[in-house]
Amino acid sequence: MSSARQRVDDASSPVHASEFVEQRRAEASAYEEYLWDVVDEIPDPHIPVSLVEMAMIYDIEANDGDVVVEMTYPCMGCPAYDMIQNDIESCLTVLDGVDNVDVEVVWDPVWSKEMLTAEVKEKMRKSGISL
Amino acid sequence: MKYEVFARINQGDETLHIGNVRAQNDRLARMYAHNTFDEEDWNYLAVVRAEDLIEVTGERPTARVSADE
Amino acid sequence: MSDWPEPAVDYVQAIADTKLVLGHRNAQWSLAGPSLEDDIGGASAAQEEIGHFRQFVNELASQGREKDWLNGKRNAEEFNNAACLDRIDGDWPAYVASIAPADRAAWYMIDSIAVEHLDGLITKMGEDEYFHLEYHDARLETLAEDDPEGIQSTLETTLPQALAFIGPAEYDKETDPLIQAGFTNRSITEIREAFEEHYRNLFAETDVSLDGVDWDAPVREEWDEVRRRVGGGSIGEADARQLRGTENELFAMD
Repeated sequence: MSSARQRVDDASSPVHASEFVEQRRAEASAYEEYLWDVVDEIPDPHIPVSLVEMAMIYDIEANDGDVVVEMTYPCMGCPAYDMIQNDIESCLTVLDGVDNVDVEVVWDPVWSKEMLTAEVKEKMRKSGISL
Repeated sequence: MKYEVFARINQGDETLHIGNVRAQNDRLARMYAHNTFDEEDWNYLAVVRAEDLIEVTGERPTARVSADE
Repeated sequence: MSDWPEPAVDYVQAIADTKLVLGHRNAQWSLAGPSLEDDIGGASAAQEEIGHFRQFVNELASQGREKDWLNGKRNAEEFNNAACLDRIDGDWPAYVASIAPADRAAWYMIDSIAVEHLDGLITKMGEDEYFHLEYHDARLETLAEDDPEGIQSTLETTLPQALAFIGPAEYDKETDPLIQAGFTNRSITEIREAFEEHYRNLFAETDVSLDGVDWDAPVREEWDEVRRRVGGGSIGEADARQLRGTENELFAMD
């Protein structure tokens, strides 16, 4: 029987975690890139950076007006769980070419602070937040 | 029992004294430190029994100390 | 997403409901601890357990269970939580000795799930559970010194209830329906053995004796496989009302 800690240690994580989101975004079409920019304007309710900067947005796919946003949370018990998803939906549904927005919460890979770029960490440090 | 709490944010940073907790044993002290200081995502968080912390600097030596010894 | 066999949906339902009631109990007791650190830890665990429940709700909804029902629109007897959480019989030490076995049993059961698409979710839960379980054990060690009779008496009730939640000893590698279905990779027998060994080791050097614990519970023929308990019972009506949250709907954000 593994302990909770062993399970955590056994879990595989991307070698270059901060590149994971960048790789996903690199595959975006021009329109999807536009959607990434819109979502990049939505602030994390707790921290003065955007959801994209917090590496909570894993993927955005657009297909004939149907948009699927794949996202995760640093904490499973996040009190702003629904609020954040509502923010994403309301920012995207008003855009031309978007008929339907589906936010999917995923946990693979598990979020870690290694997913933040050096620039974002510096930005947070300047705001007095250490991560 | 009093425990001093030490932490650093990133590997290579200086380890800083960030506070203290009181607990009945080491195991509980670890969890109290985690519960109390969990707001940061520490790279390193440790507790040290206050009684095991031996100060190098301290009060000025007095004439009586040197006379007694 | 592939359909789970019905026993697997029931298994996850019981784990989810245990998480929900764990969160509820943690919240109820989070101003009653002996120190501020205990209360902070309890409040934080409450939030995390509800977060775990929320993810299981999504999974169960994708298996056809109705979301409003999952989120609390049901009768007290329809919550399939571990029986040791039905009520806390005593003061704060009794609360710890009631929630700890339920939380540990739930984690062992979650950790045994071998469904690939849940791997990340389970890893994330494990990050929280490491601290919950370590805290419970640390607290049980100190309470075993301060109040061995009280802790022993509570555990004699709550450990067999947690064992009933895990399942009957007869469900080994060959007979456990979830192993057979490929949903889990550890049999109920294995989980029970690890659970028993853990608590025997934890209290080995203390004045708490576990000799009076019925380690063979539950009797297979009396076991309710959906509610994972014996002899009925449920959370109280006041608990169910709070979990339904109907009185707070006025304050809910649309």
